[in-house]
Amino acid sequence: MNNYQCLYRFKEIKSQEFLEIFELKTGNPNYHILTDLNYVEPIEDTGPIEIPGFEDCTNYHAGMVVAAALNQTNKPIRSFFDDIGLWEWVTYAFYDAFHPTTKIGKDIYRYSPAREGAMRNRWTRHHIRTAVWLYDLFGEDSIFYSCNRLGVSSDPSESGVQTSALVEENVCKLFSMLYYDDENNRRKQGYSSKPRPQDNNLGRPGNMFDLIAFLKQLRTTFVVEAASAQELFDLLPNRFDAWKS
Amino acid sequence: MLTTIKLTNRIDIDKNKVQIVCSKIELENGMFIPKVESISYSFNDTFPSESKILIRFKLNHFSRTIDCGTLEDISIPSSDALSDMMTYEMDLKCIFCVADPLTNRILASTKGFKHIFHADSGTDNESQLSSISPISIDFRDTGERIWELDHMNQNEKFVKIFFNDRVQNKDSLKKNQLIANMYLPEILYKMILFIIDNNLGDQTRSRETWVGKVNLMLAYFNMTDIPSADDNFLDKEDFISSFISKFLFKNRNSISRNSISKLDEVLSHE
Repeated sequence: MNNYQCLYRFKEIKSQEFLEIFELKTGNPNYHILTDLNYVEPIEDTGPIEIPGFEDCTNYHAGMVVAAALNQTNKPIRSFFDDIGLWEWVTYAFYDAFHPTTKIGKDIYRYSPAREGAMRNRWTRHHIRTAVWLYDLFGEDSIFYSCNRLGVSSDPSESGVQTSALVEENVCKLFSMLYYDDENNRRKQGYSSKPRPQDNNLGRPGNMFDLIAFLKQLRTTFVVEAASAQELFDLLPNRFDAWKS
Repeated sequence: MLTTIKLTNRIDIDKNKVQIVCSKIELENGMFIPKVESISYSFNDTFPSESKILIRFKLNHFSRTIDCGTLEDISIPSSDALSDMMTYEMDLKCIFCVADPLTNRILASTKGFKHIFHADSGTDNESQLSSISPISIDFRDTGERIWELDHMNQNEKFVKIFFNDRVQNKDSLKKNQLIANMYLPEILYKMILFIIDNNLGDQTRSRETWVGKVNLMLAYFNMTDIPSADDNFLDKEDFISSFISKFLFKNRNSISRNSISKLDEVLSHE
């Protein structure tokens, strides 16, 4: 468990030191560079941060602690999204908290995020920035998207947020109402099952992908964003009934 | 052939009949937020005057829907209504909706996004070409010709193609991909040759003129090494031909494949 007095940003993005760990996978992290002013600069007014250990850390935890440090600045968290040096620093600092299987991932956008304007499916890939974004928007409710171990991506945190129009509080609550098991603090089994040949390769009726498709279609004729989660819940067709209990 | 059957009563509003003007407000950190300055419309469809105007804004990965009053009494959103849409590159677009205030049913909306600001510096955004057309279609007496090209003026926003005004189905003609496939290669050839012969290549990349738009399209396809007026004619032809091939390939689903299927359908009735 490491503590830092504030957040920092790497002065050089996609540096050799960073890529050796997160792309080439040839090195081990050297945590001294995280406070060495030859490599980093402090981000003004950010609060202290305590990096949780692996056993404790989900994407949600990471999002929460980073959001707390950024909120100390009294600036909107969105103003930091394109600060690539910051997100690389945060990723490096959390290295030990990443689930071991994710450390061999090849997609650099999960560690060094895409800037705005990049293709939409890349922007949401960064493990920690996406969790921070969702925590900033939905607070505790963002656990539906981010409850996986840090670095383990999930359909809600990727497909669930790629359609930006559906990144709304009511939709977040609707996801939770249908697919989150509050008692066991996890998503319900089969909530995002992929299409199978025996279903003619169509999405499984009533699952999360089906709901996304339904809401997208509904938006063309209904102001979805003005409805409460309960109103949307009540509008759902019969095929969602199995998930309502 | 792709046939669209509309099962809802939602009406499509012509994007050109809606005017939304925004400005960019620069923040201390060098980022920008959009501010809505004015909203107006000129469509003739009739809706109850108390119908709500909703504008769905989209900026990069962020969406926000703003209530802008009613058709009878438009209200301009406050200057900070879009303050959480901060960005370094303003690529702002929107969908204008008319909604029933009681049921929240959308009675009408613009089909597809209407662009307000473009981020032209990047080439990573697939949607950028969708609204860049440098060509407009109109109708006039073209004698016995089916269509003819208007005089090209480098300062105008569009190059105009005039179709014979005796054509009855004017709206269908504008959307017909088979017809587009017939005239596009020739029009593009003439437009790019005009740009080359007047040394207008790569001078401006903007949506203000058709020349700027074509330059944006050339940049999109990484064709920035544009021949000059003094170059060999064969080099000019090679360049133009290469662009037309790339353009048609990129649009193969919407233009070429639709056209071939339409052509087969027409010929099968002969």
